[in-house]
Amino acid sequence: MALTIQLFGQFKEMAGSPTLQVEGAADTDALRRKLETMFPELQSIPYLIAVDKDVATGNTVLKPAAVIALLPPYSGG
Amino acid sequence: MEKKMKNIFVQGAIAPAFVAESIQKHSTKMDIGAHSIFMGQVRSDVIDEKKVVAIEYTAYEEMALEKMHVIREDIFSKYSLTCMHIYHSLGRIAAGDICLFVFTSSGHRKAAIAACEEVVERIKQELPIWGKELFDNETHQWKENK
Repeated sequence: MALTIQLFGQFKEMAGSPTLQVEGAADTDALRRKLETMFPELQSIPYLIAVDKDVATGNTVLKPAAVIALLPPYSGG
Repeated sequence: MEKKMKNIFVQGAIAPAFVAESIQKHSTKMDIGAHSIFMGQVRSDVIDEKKVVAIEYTAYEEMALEKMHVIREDIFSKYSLTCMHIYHSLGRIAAGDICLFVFTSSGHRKAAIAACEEVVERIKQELPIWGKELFDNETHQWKENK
């Protein structure tokens, strides 16, 4: 089951696409491991994962229908 | 104070005339005694001899509007405000132009001033918005709020 991850800011630029497909990540910890393997640069960027428009705190189970987004450090205002 | 979710995003810079009109619109509200306004302006930083000519703003809009709604509710429950208006630019904003406009009004000054400051801080910390600093040599870097 592939998850679709929405990308923003520098991550969208890094991947060259607004979304990313990731296979077999049951929770946010597994997703982080997969993403950091795909994009080693992520290891040095304090990014957040949003699940259904809320920032995931701790390890969060990812249901197939979840809306997942990868958020680089904010710089609004 | 229940309010429906508002859009804060505007395409392009916030014109000073728009700020003036916003102030004018409040002249009919006779219970207001204080306004506090914060405006963010795109600064032309020089980084490694490259000059910032503009910032290009993007956002996870749906999430940002939900978060802003929560902040708005928090602020209204904490301070005695008459009203609060927030506008944040998206797209390419040139150095020298206004990219954020926060406008709080209350009966007396302290609530408006404190609420305005708190809203600005929370916008910077909690809203998924990203600014890409564009340099004069066609390169760029991603800004990060401190």
